[in-house]
Formats: sequence, C-alpha cells, structure tokens
Amino acid sequence: MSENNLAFNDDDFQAPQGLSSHGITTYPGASTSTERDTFSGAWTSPQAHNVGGIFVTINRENVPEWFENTKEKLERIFNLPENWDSYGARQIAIGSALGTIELILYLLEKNIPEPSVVPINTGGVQIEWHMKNIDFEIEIQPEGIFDIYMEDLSNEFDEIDLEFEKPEFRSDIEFNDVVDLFMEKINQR
Amino acid sequence: MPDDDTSIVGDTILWRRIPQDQCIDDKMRGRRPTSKAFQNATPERHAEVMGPFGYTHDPGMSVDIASETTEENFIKNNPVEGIVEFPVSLIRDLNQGIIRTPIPDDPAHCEVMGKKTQGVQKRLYRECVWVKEPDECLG
Repeated sequence: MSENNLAFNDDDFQAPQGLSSHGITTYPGASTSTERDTFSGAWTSPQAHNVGGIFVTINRENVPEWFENTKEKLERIFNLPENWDSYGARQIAIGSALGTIELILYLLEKNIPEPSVVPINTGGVQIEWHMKNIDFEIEIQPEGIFDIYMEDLSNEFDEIDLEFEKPEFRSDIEFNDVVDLFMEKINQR
Repeated sequence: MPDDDTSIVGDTILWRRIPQDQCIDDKMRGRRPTSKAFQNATPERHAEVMGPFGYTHDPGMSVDIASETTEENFIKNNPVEGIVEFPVSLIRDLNQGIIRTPIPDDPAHCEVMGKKTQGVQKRLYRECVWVKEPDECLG
C-alpha cells in the first residue's frame, strides 16, 4: 500500500504550462500509481507513471483567505491511503486530483466562497457548498467527468443535474451558467 | 427491486461509519456526513473482501445492525470516526433492499442493496442521525 505522494505547492515552482492565468504541471517522481476500472481490473496509466507530485503556481494577487485551508484539505485527501473509509475506498486517482485543482483554480476567478472538499470511495473528489438555501455539489470523477448537482430549497429554479467532460469545462457555456447562477443567488440572498 | 431480506423488519436500526474527511459543516444544517458517504463498495474491493467468504452478489453499501454490535466494536479500528444511524424502513422507502452478509470479524454486517442515486444519497444524509460525531470534521 503506497501513498500517492502528491504535493500541492504554490510557493516555489514556476510551471512551464499554463491554465488561464495559473499553472499546473506534474513532475517525474519515484512513485507510480495503479488505477482501476470496473471492466478490466487494474491498469497503470502512462500519466500516473510519471506523476510524483503536483505543483501549482497561482498568479493572482488577491487569493481569498479560505484558499490556504482548502489547500491543506487537498494535500491531506490526495495522500489518503487505500481503505481510508474502513470500507475499502480507493486512493484518490491522479485524474481526480488534477481535475479538482483545475476546477478550484477556475472557481477562484469566480470569487466563489470556501467549499467543503471530500474524498469519494471510487477515487474521486467532491467539492460542495450548502448555504443560503442552495445545495451545490461538483463531483470530480477519476475518468475526467464533472458531475454537477444544484438544488434551490427556495424553488426559484429547478434542480440541476448535469455531466461535463473535464477538458472542455472552462469554455462550456452551460457549465459557466451554472456556476454564475450559484454566485448570483448567493450574492442576492 | 434489489435483493431484500424481509425478515429484517422496518424499525431495525442500521449503523454506518463516517470518516472525518467525509464530515462537512453545512451552513444550513450543521455538521453532517457528505452525500458521498453513502455509496456502494467498489466492485474490486467487494470481491476482495467478500469473495473469500463465498459472497458473489453485486456490491452494496456496508452497514451493521445496531442491536447486534456495540459502538466500541463498530469503530474499533478507527475510534475517531463518526457513526450515523437510520432505520430499514427509510432504505426500503428509497427502493433499496437489505441483506445479511456476516463476516468473521463482523457478524452484524449487512449491505444496503440498490443504486445510490443522488436522490438516495440526499435522503440518507438528511434523515440519518448521529450516534457519535467524528472527533474532527475535516471536509
């Protein structure tokens, strides 16, 4: 049983590749990560082979106060061992970890409030908000799917339950509309 | 309809462990488990753990019958975890079933069978009750 050995360091690494005004990269490390799917059993992804850590550079002057807390949560859950829930949960998959970081960097641009961040037994991650009569959850699945669920307990809008492919989420109008709707409602109330 | 052992009556209380990382501070409802604390086991882990005891059914969500275990025994491997409870009648109302799947280390072990949709998870986190909160809520 090995740890993912993922680090999340925003202080001293300049990423050569960027995501918007931020950068994420991975670097070769000694550890490898075995992933699984439900159809063919265990497999080792080429990406995971080369991932020993995740370093993030944030080129934003006004990072919210909550970010430090969230960063610590991410570091902890990315390094959870197998069976962290005592019911046989998988370690957090590399794809979920990268997707979570990309998503949180995107949400920083939207000035979103502090999320709760929880691991899922499938190797995924969920970030979620429950405030001002709104339940808003985004599940980041190991396969690169974002599953969004939003419910307004005030019934001003219908329940939203949608899936998005991770690579396209930044430019997806519907995805942006959902996040903007959440921000609009919590700012109004 | 998923497998269901109808000899387990509706007012039977079930317990499920809640890891500290799956406990969140909900600004509307207070401290509670995330919806994702209510998932079926992954297929490979289920086969690994349950297979050696002759179980070949699809994975469900592990629980214990409360009256057949103790709080101390239920979280003996990780005492910082929380415990929530809910009745069998709730899971049946959600079109889930329950089967006994005792294992040597945990004779009270059962599984809640059926797909854990968003709606099922939502009802479970909203209607379950803390037996013991985790030492810390880290989500």
